[in-house]
Amino acid sequence: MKLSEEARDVLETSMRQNKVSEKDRNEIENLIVTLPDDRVLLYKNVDSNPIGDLERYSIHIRLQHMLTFVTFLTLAFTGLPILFFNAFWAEPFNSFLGGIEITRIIHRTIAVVMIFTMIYHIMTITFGTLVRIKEGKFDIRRSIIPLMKDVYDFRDDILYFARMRDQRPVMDKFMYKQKIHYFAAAFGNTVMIVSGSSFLFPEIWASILPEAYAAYFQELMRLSHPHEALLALLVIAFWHWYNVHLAPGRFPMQWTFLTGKITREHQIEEHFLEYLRNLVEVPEERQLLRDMLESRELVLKPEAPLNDLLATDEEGGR
Amino acid sequence: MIRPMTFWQKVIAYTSLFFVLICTVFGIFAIYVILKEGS
Repeated sequence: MKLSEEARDVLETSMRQNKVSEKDRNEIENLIVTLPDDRVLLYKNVDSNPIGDLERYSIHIRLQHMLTFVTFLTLAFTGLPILFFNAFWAEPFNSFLGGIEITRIIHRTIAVVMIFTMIYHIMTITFGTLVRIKEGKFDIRRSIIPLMKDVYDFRDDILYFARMRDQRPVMDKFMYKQKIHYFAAAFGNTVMIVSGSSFLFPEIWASILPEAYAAYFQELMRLSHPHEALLALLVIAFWHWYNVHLAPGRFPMQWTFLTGKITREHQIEEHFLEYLRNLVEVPEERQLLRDMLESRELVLKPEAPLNDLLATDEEGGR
Repeated sequence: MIRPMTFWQKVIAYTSLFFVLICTVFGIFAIYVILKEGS
């Protein structure tokens, strides 16, 4: 396989950051040369454990996902009967919990847990990044920060799905879709926290804001809170769950949120640049890939002899 | 190629999927409510 310029750069950066020895460097280079150019051929042939092969998320990130997942659903389930308290279905629900006062207390308590999760997450990514910078292992391309590459990847992926391109773009640890989703969630959380706190502490917000805007702000927040909630619910139910449960290759469930690991197949298909880093960081992965290529007879033959032959032929013609 | 899941892995995966589908029904109900009752 001939690596693109950006893939070559990612590989070089990873080898430099991991202080790879000359022997390992040669091993990695020799392995990559023998990879077939068609990545579909590669990921359809690698052996994958359904619950995941390669490290992706730390225990902190998994815990935060779990907390977000529980708090999000509980907030949605309790928020709706608070908003439509006199609807025919809301009354029995509220009285089942012990009255609307109890539903509101549950909603607010869970909201505190959600805010705690957001703080926990910000601390995790901040300290994680600082540690990586200190160790000299930080690479912005490996982070969730959106880059111009994501715009090109998005375009190329659409071209691929429209059959105007024969390979999916070579994407990094977080692809464009994940970055959009992540920042949508971050924005949504902020809106929910700001608007929710304005219901609970209107006087504090009124003391912070200029007098002329305080009442207007309350009105705006009263509109934002339920609408942002509905938007988030739609995104989760029809986009996120499709991507992690129903999409071909993920059905019936992607295990990453529990095991923190991604399957080798998925890594090569959607996060090939991260897979290159895996080849640098996990020596066993190199052996595994080499064995697979040999057993399936997928090793790309070196092109040198053929080129030599053509060169001689041309010379002979002259 | 992903190896087939074991029995217990299938139990966990399909239970989770079932939960998600139930919650999707709730999501559709939420849309219905908001459209009908206004917000």
